[in-house]
Amino acid sequence: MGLSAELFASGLATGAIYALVALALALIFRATGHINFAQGEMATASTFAGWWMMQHGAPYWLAFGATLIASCAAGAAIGRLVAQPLAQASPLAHIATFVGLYAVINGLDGFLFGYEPRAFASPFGAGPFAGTALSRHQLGMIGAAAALMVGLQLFFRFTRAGLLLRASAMEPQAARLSGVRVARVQALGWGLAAAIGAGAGMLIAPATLLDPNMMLAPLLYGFAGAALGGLAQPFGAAFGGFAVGLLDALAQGLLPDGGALKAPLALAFILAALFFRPAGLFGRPDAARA
Amino acid sequence: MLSIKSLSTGYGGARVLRGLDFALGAGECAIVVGPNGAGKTTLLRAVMQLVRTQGEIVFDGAALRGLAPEEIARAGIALAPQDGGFFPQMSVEDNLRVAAPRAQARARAYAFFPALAERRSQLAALLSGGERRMLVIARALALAPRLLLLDEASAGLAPRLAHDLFARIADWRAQDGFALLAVEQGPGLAALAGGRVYLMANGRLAPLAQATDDGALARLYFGV
Ligand SMILES: Nc1ncnc2c1ncn2[C@@H]1O[C@H](COP(=O)(O)OP(=O)(O)OP(=O)(O)O)[C@@H](O)[C@H]1O
Ligand SMILES: [Mg+2]
Repeated sequence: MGLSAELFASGLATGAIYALVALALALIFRATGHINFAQGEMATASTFAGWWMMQHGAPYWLAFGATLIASCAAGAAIGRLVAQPLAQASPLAHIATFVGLYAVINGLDGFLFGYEPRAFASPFGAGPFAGTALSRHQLGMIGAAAALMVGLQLFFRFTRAGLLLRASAMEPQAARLSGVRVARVQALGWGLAAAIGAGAGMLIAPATLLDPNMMLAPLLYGFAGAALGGLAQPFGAAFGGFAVGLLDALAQGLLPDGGALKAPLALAFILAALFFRPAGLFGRPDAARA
Repeated sequence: MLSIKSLSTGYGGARVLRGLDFALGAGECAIVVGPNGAGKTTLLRAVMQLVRTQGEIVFDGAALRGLAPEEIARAGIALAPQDGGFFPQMSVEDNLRVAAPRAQARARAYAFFPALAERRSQLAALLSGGERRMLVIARALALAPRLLLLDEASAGLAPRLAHDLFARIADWRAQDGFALLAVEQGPGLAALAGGRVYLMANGRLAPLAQATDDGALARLYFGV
């Protein structure tokens, strides 16, 4: 396969998947300072919940909305019960907890729903989008990721909730002394991230098929994208997600055995970029007085 | 307004405050001096419940023990801590917005520290040491507290500004009538605030009749 519009389009569509995951990761990071390795599994569990509702006769948008709301509540609860007690713990304890959470949710999904891949409906309809190399679903995914990227950036920049989320993650004690109810604010951050993850899962499932391990690769590449663009900025994180998708497609198109080498090549490129800009392409290196 | 009875606290096994008693009426002012490590900061942290305490702390009739610091802040007590107390990766303006959603409250804080107003959009991490002290105090004032706790507010400020700081806080208190509990190294500056002065020693507070010429203070604090 050479370079072509199709290749670019499919890279962009894959990038949208990574960008959606990167946005959820960046939101939790910005709000709590945590990197939630279980983000992908939470999204998968949400997607199963949506699938279950549709199996039981719920129309698409009802199931979609109910899944977002339920995921928001579940995410807030997980943040409160699992992440909050970790506030004073070491980074190692964070990693162990989130990896544990990952394993628990992944196992539960398999236990409840089995490992057989299932088709999942797309809200954007089937078939190609008039006169482009993109399917309607791919275009919808790209649009949703781009809208969310801009929306979250504006949310952190211009709303009070966004300001308090940043403050609570940065200096919890100073936030408390300013009367900010840090536990609630962080639960809100977890809830929003879980809702975004749920939306991402329901948009990814039509492209990949739904099974308990569906988010494994998106989480890995989404995380790489977030690191590339800068975890602290929703805009940068999502941009990084798109970039990883495009690099991935480029590698596939340019290399003789592209399919096998595309992942290592894309990740090598990211390592190189982070070597020169450790805070990510858009991340402000932590401003410090020289 | 603030009443503390047999307050004890410490870190691990080490007792820092040992049965401390203290009372402050509405709108009153008290200054605490004492050697390094005496427990002055610990006393202010105890009021905010940033450390576990024994004994009784009552503010406007409500017991503070066991409350979360944010609830104590919302009840009307603002602490400008000795270290930290601001958001380094945010602009000066955003720092104040966390404490004060209303522009009016922020405007008052800027009027108090014109140097901060000039640096409104600068990242707090890039402020000078003295400017950071101003920001921490401004953030506390922006909460419009009924009791202000200042931990070495004047440390690192230019002598002229440190001098002005207490005079201007006295002005603000004259308008708003908030009470002030300030920890200071120098009793001379503290006297400007026009309050009673206490010496922290052996985990308790002892009143000093006068800030400047007390023999006990000179012996205990300056070692002469
Ligand atoms: N987090 C902590 N863990 C253990 N010990 C502590 C801690 N904070 C303070 N201490 C100890 O408690 C004692 C009182 O400290 P505190 O900070 O209250 O003193 P201070 O009077 O404010 O001193 P300074 O004038 O130097 O600010 C000191 O001996 C100090 O070493
Ligand atoms: Mg101190």
